[in-house]
Amino acid sequence: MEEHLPPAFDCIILGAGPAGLCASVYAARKMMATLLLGKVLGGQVATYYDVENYLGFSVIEASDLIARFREHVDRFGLFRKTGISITAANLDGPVKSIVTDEGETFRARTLIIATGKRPRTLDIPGEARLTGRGVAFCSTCDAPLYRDADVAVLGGGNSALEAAADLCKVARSVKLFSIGPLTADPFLAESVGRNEKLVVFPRHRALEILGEQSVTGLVVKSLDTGIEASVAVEGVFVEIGLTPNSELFAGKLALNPKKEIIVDLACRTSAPGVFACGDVTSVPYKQIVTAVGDGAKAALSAYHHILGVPPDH
Amino acid sequence: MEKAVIVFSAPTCPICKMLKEFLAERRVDYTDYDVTSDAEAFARMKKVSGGLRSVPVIKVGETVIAGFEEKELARALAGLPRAG
Repeated sequence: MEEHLPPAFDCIILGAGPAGLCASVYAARKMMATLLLGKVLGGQVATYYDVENYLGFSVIEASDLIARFREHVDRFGLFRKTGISITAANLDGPVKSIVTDEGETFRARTLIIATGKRPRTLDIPGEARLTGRGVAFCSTCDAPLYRDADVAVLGGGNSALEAAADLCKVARSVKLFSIGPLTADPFLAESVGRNEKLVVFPRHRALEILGEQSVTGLVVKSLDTGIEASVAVEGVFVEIGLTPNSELFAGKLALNPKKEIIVDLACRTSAPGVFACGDVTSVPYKQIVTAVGDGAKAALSAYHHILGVPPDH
Repeated sequence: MEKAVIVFSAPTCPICKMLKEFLAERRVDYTDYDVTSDAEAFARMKKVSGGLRSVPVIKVGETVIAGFEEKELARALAGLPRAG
């Protein structure tokens, strides 16, 4: 971070995941005075061990990909600050302003929102209190800590099956509870499902996570019979999808029913001068590569907004 | 000899790797324990953190930090006595 910041930027980018990082490269290339603010450099990528099929790499360690992103971004000498959160945003008028949790206010002519998504929580008793004490949201990080343990996975999509696969390598038993039928890729579901340690319970809802200092069990309910049962487990891995980090913009920008920011083909939001890209948006097919592409589009749209010309001018 | 900064980590944990890069950039010496292969270290991590079963856990002097929060860690590091 450089010491002397300009009084107002051409562009502030919120979020340091692939979308925000790529937007910063494209904004900087257009010689826009750019400030990149984010909580974690790499965003959600930082929670994965490796990344497959990002063009140019059939597989690459996530931390290596992030290091490459960072090296690339830092070549442009833009202002970058990570480890912070945004607490307020004013999107009205020709100059936008945002406030950080450090109490700083920054202003810019354009804003690019690339705040991504975070793991969705169940909001059931015990979940928040026991997070980190048996309740886990990152199997890549924490699965190895459950050697010879009985554990549960909640969810039926790809991330749930991948967590189950991680856990089957170390745990004694893995029970997977899914509200509906499995929605994971058939190849993944079939390959993980063959593991003898795994038992899948479709149409079961988790009601409560049990334990005082650490997780000791899970209460589940069969949606077919209505019967509730307590299952003894030391770990509960919650893998029920993601929720967009869009709360700050509710009532200020048009959101879809999933609370994603609605954008057009040029990554424009419902507010002039405010653009969005990546997983926080309504764009389908959330992938690193699509986030990166939309990051570039958002930056170019912001540039054209400042020039006062339409996109793709 | 154990350093003033202790990291409890797992080799597959990408956030642990980012944490170590953060410390290396700031030239902070630290002792790293792989809690997936060192049962004693795993037990110690749980003891110092009040029962946490999640990595990374960082101990800076007497301050224990769960997860990698840049600001919190920077504050804790700033409180360490300086050599020399």
